[in-house]
Amino acid sequence: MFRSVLLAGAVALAAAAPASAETFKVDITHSSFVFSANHIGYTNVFGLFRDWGGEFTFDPKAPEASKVKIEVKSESIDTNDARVQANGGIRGRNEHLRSADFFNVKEFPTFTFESTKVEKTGEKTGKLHGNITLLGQTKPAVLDVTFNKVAPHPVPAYKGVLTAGFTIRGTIKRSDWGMKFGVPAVSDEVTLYIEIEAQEKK
Amino acid sequence: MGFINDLIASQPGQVAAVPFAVAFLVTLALGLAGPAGRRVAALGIGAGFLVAYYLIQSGVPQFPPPQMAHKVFYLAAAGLVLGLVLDFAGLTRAGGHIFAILLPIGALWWMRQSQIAAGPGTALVVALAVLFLVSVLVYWRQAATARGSDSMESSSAGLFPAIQLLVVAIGLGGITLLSFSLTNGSLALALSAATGGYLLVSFLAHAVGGRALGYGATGAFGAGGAWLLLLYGSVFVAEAPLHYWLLGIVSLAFAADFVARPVALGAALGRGGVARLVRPLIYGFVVGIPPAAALAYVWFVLGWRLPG
Repeated sequence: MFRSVLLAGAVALAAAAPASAETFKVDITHSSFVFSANHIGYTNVFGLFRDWGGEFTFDPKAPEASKVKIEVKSESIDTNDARVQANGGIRGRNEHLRSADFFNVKEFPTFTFESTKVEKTGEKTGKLHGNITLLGQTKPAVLDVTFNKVAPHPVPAYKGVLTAGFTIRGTIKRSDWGMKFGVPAVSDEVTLYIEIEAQEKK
Repeated sequence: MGFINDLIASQPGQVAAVPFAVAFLVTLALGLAGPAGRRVAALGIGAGFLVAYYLIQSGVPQFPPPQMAHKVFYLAAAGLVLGLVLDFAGLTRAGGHIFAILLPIGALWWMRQSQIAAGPGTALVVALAVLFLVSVLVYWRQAATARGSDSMESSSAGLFPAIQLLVVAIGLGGITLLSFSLTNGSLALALSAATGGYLLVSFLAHAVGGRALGYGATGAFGAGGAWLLLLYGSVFVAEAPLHYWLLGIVSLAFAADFVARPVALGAALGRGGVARLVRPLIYGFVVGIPPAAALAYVWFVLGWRLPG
């Protein structure tokens, strides 16, 4: 009986995993794009982007062939300081970050990441090579990626759609893209914490 | 050397001390270099501004510059070189008329190239048109206000273009620093500091020798032009209608020249040393009213302050 269960499980898994590279679309409600930067040596201040998305192709049997493209709306940045100058004289950090001193959202409303290579480093880990285009400049970046799982979504509302999950970590130097304001008081190094849950596009 | 390095690395150093010192030293050297040097003494302002830009923006921007803010550096340098060429070639007046039209067109086009290519909307067309007209006004008044400065009666007028620039740079710097761009604000204040460095030498030359140092095309295109570029950049990244109004009020200083100049030159002060000292101050006071009003409004009425 145990062998029958094992066999049934293997068949189910084989049926669940994509037979070849499939395209997945980021589920923003279960994904996060968080970052941190050091503030004058006192703390690491965290922030996130609320409006972003993307797609990727992925085949667990050939992860090196994966392709990723993420686009982030810079205006959606949120660092827990939403003070608006029009309301009282001091502009908050969110407003400042959107200004020409940092993300310059009027001139560059989005920034993107597009992968160029996936390098497998372990059973479920890899290096995600790609280009970040930010403030009109495209520069390479390498991020650490962990493949969490891929399986049909168990929640009935998702109707068993194939869902994949990844954890991405990395550190970039914002000055590489010309975002130099405040360095070194606000650190040049920015650490990225990206969690992606994505459903197969049909 | 540690103190110098700390000063150069500090914000007050980059925004004030360094551009002032560079402009002062360059202007002084040119002022002592005979007629040819005196003619292009306003090079000190441009040099102080570009050095400050290098420090504030942590280096020379890459070329071609991807950001509008980085184009300011190259356009400012180009304006300075153009002004120098015109002054050395004796083409200040003729070249000034031509480039007062061509420079704003070229600069505005380059700064908004991709938006223009994508099909500019009504707002952008209006902004470009207004900025072009403001530019023509600026260049006109930068040249016209110095008229007659080679005569004893109007020798103070030789200082007027730089005084114009000083007050509008402070105005632009204060407004943008307190609102939507600390970077633009810092650059504008650095320009005002550089102008201060030039003015100190030129004022002394005027007070002692009766004749201010040259401003010419070098000043108009290299220094006045730098202010215009910062104005363009500020308008294009401004975030609220109020910002446009405030920048417009600051720019009225150039129109205030129509009042300030006759008031300063017409003051019954005689021709002596007192007149040479007081007329520039009277001029500066009157032409500074619009920027001062804008700054007073945002500080005392709106309560704008620097972020913590």
